[in-house]
Amino acid sequence: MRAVVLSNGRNIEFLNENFINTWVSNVELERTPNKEAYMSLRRQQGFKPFDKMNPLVQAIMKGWKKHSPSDSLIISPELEVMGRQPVNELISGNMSRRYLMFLKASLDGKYPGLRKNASAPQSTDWEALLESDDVMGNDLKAVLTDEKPQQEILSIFRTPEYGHQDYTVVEIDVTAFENGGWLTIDIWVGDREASGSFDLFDGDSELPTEGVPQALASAWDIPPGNVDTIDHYFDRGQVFKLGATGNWFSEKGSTNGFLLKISVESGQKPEPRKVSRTHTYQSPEDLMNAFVKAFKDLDLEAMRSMLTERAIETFGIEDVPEAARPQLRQMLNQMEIVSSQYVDDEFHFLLRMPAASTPETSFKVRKVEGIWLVYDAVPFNGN
Amino acid sequence: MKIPIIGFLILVAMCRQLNADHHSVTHNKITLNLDGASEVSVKGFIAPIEITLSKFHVEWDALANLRVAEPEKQYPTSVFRAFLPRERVFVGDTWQIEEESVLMLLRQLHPNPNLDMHINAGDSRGLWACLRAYNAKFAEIAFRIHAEFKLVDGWFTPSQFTGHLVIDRIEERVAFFKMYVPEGIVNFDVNWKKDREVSYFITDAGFCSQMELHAGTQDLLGSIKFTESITQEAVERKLILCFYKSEQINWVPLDQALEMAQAAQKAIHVISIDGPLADESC
Repeated sequence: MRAVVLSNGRNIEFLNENFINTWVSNVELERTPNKEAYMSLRRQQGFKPFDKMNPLVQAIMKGWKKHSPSDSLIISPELEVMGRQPVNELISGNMSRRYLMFLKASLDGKYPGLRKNASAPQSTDWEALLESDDVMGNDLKAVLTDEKPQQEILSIFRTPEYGHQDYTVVEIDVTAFENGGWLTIDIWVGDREASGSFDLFDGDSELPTEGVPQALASAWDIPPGNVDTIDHYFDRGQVFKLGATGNWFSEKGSTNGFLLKISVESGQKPEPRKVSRTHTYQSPEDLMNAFVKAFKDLDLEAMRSMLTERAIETFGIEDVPEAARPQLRQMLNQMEIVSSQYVDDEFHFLLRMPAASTPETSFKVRKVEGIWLVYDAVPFNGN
Repeated sequence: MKIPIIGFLILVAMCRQLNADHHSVTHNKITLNLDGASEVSVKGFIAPIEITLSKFHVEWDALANLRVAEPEKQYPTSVFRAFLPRERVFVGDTWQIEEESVLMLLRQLHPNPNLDMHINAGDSRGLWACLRAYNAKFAEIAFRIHAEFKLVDGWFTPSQFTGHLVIDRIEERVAFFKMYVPEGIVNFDVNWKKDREVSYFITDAGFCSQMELHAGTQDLLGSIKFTESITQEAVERKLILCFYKSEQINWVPLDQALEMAQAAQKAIHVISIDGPLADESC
């Protein structure tokens, strides 16, 4: 998290502009029993922890997600929790962009990661529903579009043995939302005995059957008769799978019903490109050579013109201070192309920058609307 | 896992660093030298680890028995040249420390030091120094080093090694040296392959009350009147920015956040996290 979402230039700028930023150790706040025991010993050694009765600390503790090892929270000056991003639900895709969307959604009053939007459904006769044949025949697929951005699904989950999952899988198709958006899943668990756990995965994932699931987002241990919400920001249209299972602490084989209200709020379409394309390149090799030259010359405008919109946003290219340019140019003169190759319909090239902390970076080029553009860059680890 | 860190970001980070250095408040560059002929006696300490979150210090012999490898050792003064800049520097300038000599010093604490940081999301590695102060006779260099030790079946990763090197500019000798793991709620992280048959490590963190190397007496530091200096806080800020780009975020202490938010009518962005955000013990 520190090296990615909190090191992204755009996120840093947004955080500094819009928030008072702080962090606190879960150990100091005694978030778990072993942290509580540890702090007891540290106090004996003279360490003075933060006062847990402090109003801000109280708001932080109220905002914690159960079982989450680390949470980012947005809290108003009046101490209302406005958004929550559990760190484990951030580890996939374009984390920096998703974090930025989380920050923006919090300020927009959308309460990401919280259950503010979920209101109880009409009185549901869970017993009757679960006994009926209808529920078994329910289509477990939600296809959401601009015209139909919301859908409800009713089904049942079963409790596996401890440490396992026995997923009822709901397919959620949001491919219509090409520019991405917020996927919100309000989950109501029926009033039978079993508690439910819900995990969201990419559509092409193979769902786990045991162990701690590495999901995009989760809502675990929802007790009977309770509601929780999964919020997930996605970059582009895709298919998800939502797995519903009894939690590890309910009786094996026990069942319960669940009702999902699945909705999408469309992402904004990208603004028209602000960069001017003074030149387009006949081949990706031409683009590569021009890109390297622009990089060495610190011609950021030229570099921007060779990137996709998403890449411009992700890379966070900023102006280089005049005073630093001579030294940087000297450094960049050592930069060299190590290799290049076509990979299917893409072109990849590897740049070596000896002075950088990640000396080799792989740049990926593909055609976008008939123009070769750099769309991605990743640190190269030799694989 | 794909991490969207690319040269641009590194470039921008470097720019900011260079730019920050450009605005140093001092006026004179100085040269720092050490005479290689003399010797320095360095004492090493590791206090027994008595406290961890998940009791690894009880269960894991390598951690339970972690002790200093050599309590005292003689070094040629040339070893400390690794901490000096190659060029003339202003107060506040930062530079990278040469690795081999630091490894030699760290071996006094434990025979298997590692500077490559086995868990490194991109900002963990580094050895940086900064000229904090000088006068006609003395110069004080502050430093921050990220290093760890390979234990049997695992790793011991301190939050950081920080410290000072004070050199006598006239005699070109080491007047004082201290490299240590600072205090903190936790100040180290451990990864233990408890079951050798599995591929993963299990983790814990804890507190070690003393892990340090030193030469000379600390009293010297308090007695010197420097003609040019920056504060300890400023030097720490310069050094941490050499590692973590996330430190460009305007972090404020938790106990000031609410008051500032109410005054500015801004929301608070707070990260509630297991380990410290600003060092390697997480």
